[in-house]
Amino acid sequence: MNALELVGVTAGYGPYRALDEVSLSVPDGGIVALVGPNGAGKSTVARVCAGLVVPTEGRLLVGGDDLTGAAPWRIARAGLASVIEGRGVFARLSVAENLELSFGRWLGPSAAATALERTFDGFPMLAERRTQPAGTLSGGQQRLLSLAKVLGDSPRVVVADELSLGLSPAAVEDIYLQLRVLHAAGTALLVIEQQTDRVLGLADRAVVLDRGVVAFTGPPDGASPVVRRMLGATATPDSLAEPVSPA
Amino acid sequence: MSTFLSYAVPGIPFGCTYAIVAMGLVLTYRTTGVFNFAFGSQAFVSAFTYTVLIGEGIPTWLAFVIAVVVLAPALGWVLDRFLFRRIAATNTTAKLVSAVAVFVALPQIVLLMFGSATRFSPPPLFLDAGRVYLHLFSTPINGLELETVIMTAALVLVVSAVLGASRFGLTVRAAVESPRLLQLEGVRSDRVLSAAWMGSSLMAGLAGVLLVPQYPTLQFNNYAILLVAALAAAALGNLADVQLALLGGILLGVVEGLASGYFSTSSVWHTGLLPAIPFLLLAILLVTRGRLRALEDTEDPLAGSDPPPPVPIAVTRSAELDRVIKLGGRALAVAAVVSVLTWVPGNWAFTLTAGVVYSIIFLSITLVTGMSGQVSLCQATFAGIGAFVAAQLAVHHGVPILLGAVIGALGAMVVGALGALPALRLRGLPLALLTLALALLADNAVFPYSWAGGPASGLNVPRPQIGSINLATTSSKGFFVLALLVLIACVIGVKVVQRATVGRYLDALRASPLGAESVGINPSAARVFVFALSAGLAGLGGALYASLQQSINPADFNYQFSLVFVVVVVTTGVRTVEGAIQAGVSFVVVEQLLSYLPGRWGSGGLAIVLFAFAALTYARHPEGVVEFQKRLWTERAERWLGLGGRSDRIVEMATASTGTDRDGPVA
Amino acid sequence: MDPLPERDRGLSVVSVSVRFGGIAALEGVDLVVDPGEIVGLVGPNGAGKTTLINCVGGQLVQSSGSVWLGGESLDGLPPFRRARRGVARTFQRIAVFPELTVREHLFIAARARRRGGARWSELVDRGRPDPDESAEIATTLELVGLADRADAAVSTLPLGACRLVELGRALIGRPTVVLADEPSSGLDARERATLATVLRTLPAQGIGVLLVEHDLPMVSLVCDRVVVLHVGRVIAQGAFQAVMADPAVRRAYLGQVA
Repeated sequence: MNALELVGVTAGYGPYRALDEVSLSVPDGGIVALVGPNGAGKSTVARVCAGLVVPTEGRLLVGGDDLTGAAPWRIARAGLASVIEGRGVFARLSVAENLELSFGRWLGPSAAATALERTFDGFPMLAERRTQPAGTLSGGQQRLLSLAKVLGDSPRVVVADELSLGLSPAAVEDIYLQLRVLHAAGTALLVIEQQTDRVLGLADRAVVLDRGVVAFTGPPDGASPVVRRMLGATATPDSLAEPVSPA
Repeated sequence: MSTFLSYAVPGIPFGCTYAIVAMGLVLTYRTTGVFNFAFGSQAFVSAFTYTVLIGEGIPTWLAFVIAVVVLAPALGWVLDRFLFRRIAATNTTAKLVSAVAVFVALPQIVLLMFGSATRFSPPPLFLDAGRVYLHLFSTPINGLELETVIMTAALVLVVSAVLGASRFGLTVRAAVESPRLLQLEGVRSDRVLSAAWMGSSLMAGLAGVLLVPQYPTLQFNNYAILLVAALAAAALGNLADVQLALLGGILLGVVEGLASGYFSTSSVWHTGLLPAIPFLLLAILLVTRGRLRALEDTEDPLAGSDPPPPVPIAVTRSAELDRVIKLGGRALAVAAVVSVLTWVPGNWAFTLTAGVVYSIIFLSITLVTGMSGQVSLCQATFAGIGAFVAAQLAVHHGVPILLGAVIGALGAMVVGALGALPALRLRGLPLALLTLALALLADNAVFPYSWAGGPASGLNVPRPQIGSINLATTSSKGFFVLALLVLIACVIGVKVVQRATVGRYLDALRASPLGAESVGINPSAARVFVFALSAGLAGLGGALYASLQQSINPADFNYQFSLVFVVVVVTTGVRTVEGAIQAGVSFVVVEQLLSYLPGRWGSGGLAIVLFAFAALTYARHPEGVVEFQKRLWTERAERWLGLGGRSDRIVEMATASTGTDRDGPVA
Repeated sequence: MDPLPERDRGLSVVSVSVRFGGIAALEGVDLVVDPGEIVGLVGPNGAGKTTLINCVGGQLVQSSGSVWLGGESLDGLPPFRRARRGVARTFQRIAVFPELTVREHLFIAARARRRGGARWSELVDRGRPDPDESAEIATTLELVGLADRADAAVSTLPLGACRLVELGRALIGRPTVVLADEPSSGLDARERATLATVLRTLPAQGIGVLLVEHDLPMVSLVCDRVVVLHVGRVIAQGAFQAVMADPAVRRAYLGQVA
């Protein structure tokens, strides 16, 4: 059974296309790494999974249910937890309130309190700042908080975009450790990363995206050379980003 | 001491009326994220319904249930469903303008439906208004006053309970910040916000009905004044703290009570300062309180999921079409001018002249809101300064009206620059509130004097005399040509500034103040410059307006006009100079067309309602209705004609300043 | 006793402390960036790196201590005045002007950063660069590798290119010091390489750089010196290898016990 599946998804923003018939799947309890150069459409995949961008073609399945075009809250209730790139926290709520908001949804009051304490044990940095508004945290700390929000309860599948963006080496270490724990508890993972080596070590499958299409699907070992070739192939550093007419 | 108390104590019940509205404002702001100007109008709608129902002989309790428990939440639901839900949580300008649109339109709708006949207020809900129930420090307290205080206390309990309810309160606060992010937690944020709107609207209805007996007759103006006065009380609570808002309201009532007691009725203070106290207080609070300054919307963390903001279509359309449209536009303009000068009947020529004059005033909004991205709610005040200066100089000192208009414009410019100084550190909502406070200060403490706004009966303003041509006697068509020339000069002036280095600085400041300052742009200088120039334009337009009308009185430039102006221009298209002219012309043309309708439908209220309804589309298309239609038709034309528009170069964006990145395009 | 820096030096931060409410974000931080020197500023999340940069850029006012540039105090100056004196910066969450082209970004920066501030002619000129500015813009476009897309609206560029636009905007007008706040964040391997190349050309022009980075290969590649911040204090500084071998740094930052 697949926890998450994209079937022939085409999506974009207004008139501009970012994904072209992308298919990928994350089996229950599996870890899939999604890598590729900037502008390849990785973040759009994350947004499609979260329901923030609705595909113009293709289907989105969560736990086998077709949720194409469903509102984000419906997808979240189907067991998919999203960590969007950038700031994924409520800046005006305190650290503890951010966590309570997440945990309280799914768990009873006492279980939520336990999850909260467990999270603070795992992230002492957040515990020190539990009453501070999340907006006053540094960029990296906000990132940690948005990850902590999905790590506390055990969703069916987690989609994490730009997992280690802006995190110190020690924090990256911590996050990967926590992901392993989460995975051991049965949660499937779709991890989108810029730092390919690390995530390919964690995953049991890899998908490489390039300019909106899937360039490679297979074992992680096979992905590294593909990515390296992709980044090395074109000489100018920014030719990737060349503006192109929408299809 | 006893004199002090005898002045202060009667201020408490009246302060409670401020407090009720102030708490409602705070509650709405905290639970919906919208600073709801419409609160006053929502209160008026319930009050009006209640009064009408009682007039029909329906029992008080039933009228109360219908007006407050049924109608008010329904209105809140409608506002959320069809207007505010469609506005991005981070778009301060859109939220502000939409709330202002509802504020001006709702009472007009009610009056169109029921007529504006005088309606006397029914007695208080459960106490006898005239009977003295108790003495406080030997000051008699009557039933009306006592009831107000009791009701205020009851409301405090209700509001505190709602905001204190931890789980719901938490969800609501999250929904206000980012409905989409909350959805990712599996919460139906649309329902949360819908409930919040219904709750806040219920509060508005309750406040409206409670306030009915305060005034002998039911008038919207009382509610409008109450709303803006309550702003000061809410500001004392940083627009966030209900208890402080309550305290602020009562304090304001007491201060007013003391002032009206100690200043003799004939003194300048009594006539000038007393009505201005709330607005003076609001202005001072906005400028001095750090927490109010910081009252800006946080960025939407999910902005990266949105399509890039549209660029004005004039920039992106294909070169061929651009030529055709520009040529066509000019031909149309020339045809219109020739028509006015030849066959158009006198009343329509007058209307179109007014349209040209309004265009000049509206250009000032293009500068402030379109170019510098701020909302100013005092443009009519600047127009008034220009008009009154020109008129007073002409009437009392024999200065030619055109020279007077220039002096008036310069005067408005100086006031604009001075007014911008305290506003330097403000942006967004606090700045808009400050401009509103300034407008109300002028309305209450300056314009009513006969040396400023002239006698209440009006000032007779001459038409200009150029050489031997007297524009009053020849025909109004001469004035049309004059106004047109001034408009063209202003348009050229604005376009020059738009294109100049300063225009680029303003673009930068609007897009990212942080980034602009980091490269050395002085935001204060740019702000003062824009405000001064825009005030000057408005002043010039105001002076021409006065001369066109040939008679003006103090109420011709009150704050409500500022609100209507902003709604009209922003919903039409605030980013382009053309938008201002289209707004000016359509504003008068719609009004003139509607004046052919029978009875109250032709009275002008309908025009305001129509422009406010345009705000519904505006919520979806923040670039303005006309701009949106232009884009739609341009794109269609390009498709039909097979022209490659330049729009295809606009690919998605790494959403500046929110730092979230959007994936690149696909070949 | 007097910590007054020498006149010809670059940036000096002298015992700067910042407190938010009761919480100390920076405590007595001293830091020097000489002209032509690239200093890496690293540390765990929340150590105060961006806070320090904001104090230098003027976006934040420190509670105590002072900031000097070229022997002159920057204290009390608003950000735009510091920019004109030679402090340039980039932002962790990019702050570009979406509707403007790359060239317009550089033009605005070149003109606004000019010493002496605004002139009246800026109200009525045509908003075009003069020959000197044009030459400078062309050089900068070449440097950051955006020459081929100079006339594209920045809203059409992906994040990586936007970061380069910010860097170009910071570099134009030859600042004394550039504060780069996680410039490689969100860039892919190739874009990082471009960034590193650009940064390494700066010392030759006498520009000092304070680089906040988590990308340690990048730091080791471009930085002459590294300063480690932890809970608002400098816990180590020196050459990259030596600093990274420090047990305290390993514990706090690298997450490994030596």
